[in-house]
Amino acid sequence: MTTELPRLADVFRGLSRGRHICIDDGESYWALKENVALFHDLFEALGFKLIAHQKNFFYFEGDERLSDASARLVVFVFILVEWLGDAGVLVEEELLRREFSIQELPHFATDRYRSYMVQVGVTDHDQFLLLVKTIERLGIAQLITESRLRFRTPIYRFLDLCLKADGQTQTSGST
Amino acid sequence: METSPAAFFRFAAEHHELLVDLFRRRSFTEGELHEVIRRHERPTHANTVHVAEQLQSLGVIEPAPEATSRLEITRPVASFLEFLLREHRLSSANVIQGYLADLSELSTELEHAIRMKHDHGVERALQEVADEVDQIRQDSHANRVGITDEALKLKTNREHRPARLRYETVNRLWDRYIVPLRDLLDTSKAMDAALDRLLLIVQEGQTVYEGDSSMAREFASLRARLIRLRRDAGADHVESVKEISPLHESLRRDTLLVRGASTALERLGREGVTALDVFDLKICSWRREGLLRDAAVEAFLRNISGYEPAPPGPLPEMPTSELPATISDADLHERLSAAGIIPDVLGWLTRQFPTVSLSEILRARASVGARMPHARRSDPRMSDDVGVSR
Repeated sequence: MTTELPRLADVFRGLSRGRHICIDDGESYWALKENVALFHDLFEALGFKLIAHQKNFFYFEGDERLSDASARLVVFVFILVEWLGDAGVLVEEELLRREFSIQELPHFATDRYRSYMVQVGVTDHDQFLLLVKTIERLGIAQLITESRLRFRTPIYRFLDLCLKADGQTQTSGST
Repeated sequence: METSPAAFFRFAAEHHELLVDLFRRRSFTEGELHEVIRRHERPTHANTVHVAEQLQSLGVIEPAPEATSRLEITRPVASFLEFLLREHRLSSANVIQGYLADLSELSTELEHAIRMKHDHGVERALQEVADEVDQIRQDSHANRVGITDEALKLKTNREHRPARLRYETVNRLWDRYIVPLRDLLDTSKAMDAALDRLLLIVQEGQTVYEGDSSMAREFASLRARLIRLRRDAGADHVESVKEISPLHESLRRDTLLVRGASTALERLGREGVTALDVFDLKICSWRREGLLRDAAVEAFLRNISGYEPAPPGPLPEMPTSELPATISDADLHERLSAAGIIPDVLGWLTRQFPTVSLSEILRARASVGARMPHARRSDPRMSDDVGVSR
């Protein structure tokens, strides 16, 4: 019986607003993890597609291909990955292990990075803070304080895009 | 000139920091040599020029082959220091393969000497085989230590080298040392085959020289060396793989991540935001529209429960003066009958009903036409556009 699904209201409220639910979300995550097939069937009947990522988090797949908001998120993460790579650390490990000060984030630190942000409509620090808030709302990161954040496992959804970008380069390079 | 080991080790004990410093530099000019000697000078040491001469006479340094003005540490001393400092040079699989080829030739030689009962030949071949086996074991161990050291350097990354550069290093280790050695050990099992053949020859030798205790001891010793080599080479390889494999994978993945991100950003800079269209990132943003919250629905239901409609109030009467003036059909018919021939119907209607609106006059004019469908413009009784007759 779908009405017996635990935390159904919380889970639906979060997922339908674009949130990615991972182990940090506690009961909502475990409710999904332990009843994934039932949740999947219920949400499918309601017209939503529940995705269970291999890195253990859940989200609803949206309808739009790449909205303006999504483009901002993608560019935010790409800059972060390149910056960490240049710093000589293991990107994946560092992203999930470290707490970042919002001030230290590189997105407006160089002209090149700033131009990328401007291209997707993030032109100043206030808009950048709004983007950070969006990232938190979607469950990609968690704000520890007003000025510090740490990334959660759903960041893998964006790392997958980095690998895809590299795959496309290799493919186009080989053809 | 032969170097006296005692003189060499006395000098090395006295000047070990100088030796390590020169070893790290690999190549240096005479001026640099003197400067390094002075840096490590102690009151008990001889003067700089004498120490420089000792370094040459003991075979520690020699002129570099490419330029007479430069000097370098000799290979044997460099190897010895590499061993002491655990800075092992890695032996490629080709080197190991070369050893195995040598081992094969020596095995044939040993086998031939045993069958010929050529004691001196057997002794010489046994010694050479033992040396070769020890050399392979030594190189295998050096590779394990070298790979472990390199992996540690890459992991700690004190120089903050980007993942891409570290991946190049680890990939070289992987491709040049791990994979070919795995082929030798696991895939083609070339080493197993060489050792198996040697063990059979040793077994044959032990049978032939059963009564010769000295020879029997040599054969037993070689047999033990072969077993130890097989065990150690396998373990060295497994440990090297364990050490390098996770690092290889994490650096490979990191390199792909960074390369992918950089490529996408570069395209964004060149082509604009359309370059991002290839990324299929569909984030759900469903919003509830036109739905009431549970509390709102409950409040609404509470308000309507027990509702009884009140009787409708009386319709208000509109004052006569405000009623729109109209022309009744009966009145119109009566006036038409009394009027006879009307030359100008519209004008007549306007005069007859001065208080009604123009639209009502026109409606009445249309009504007159409908009443007289047979009337024609040519009818003498008609005057304006529509004729009217009695």
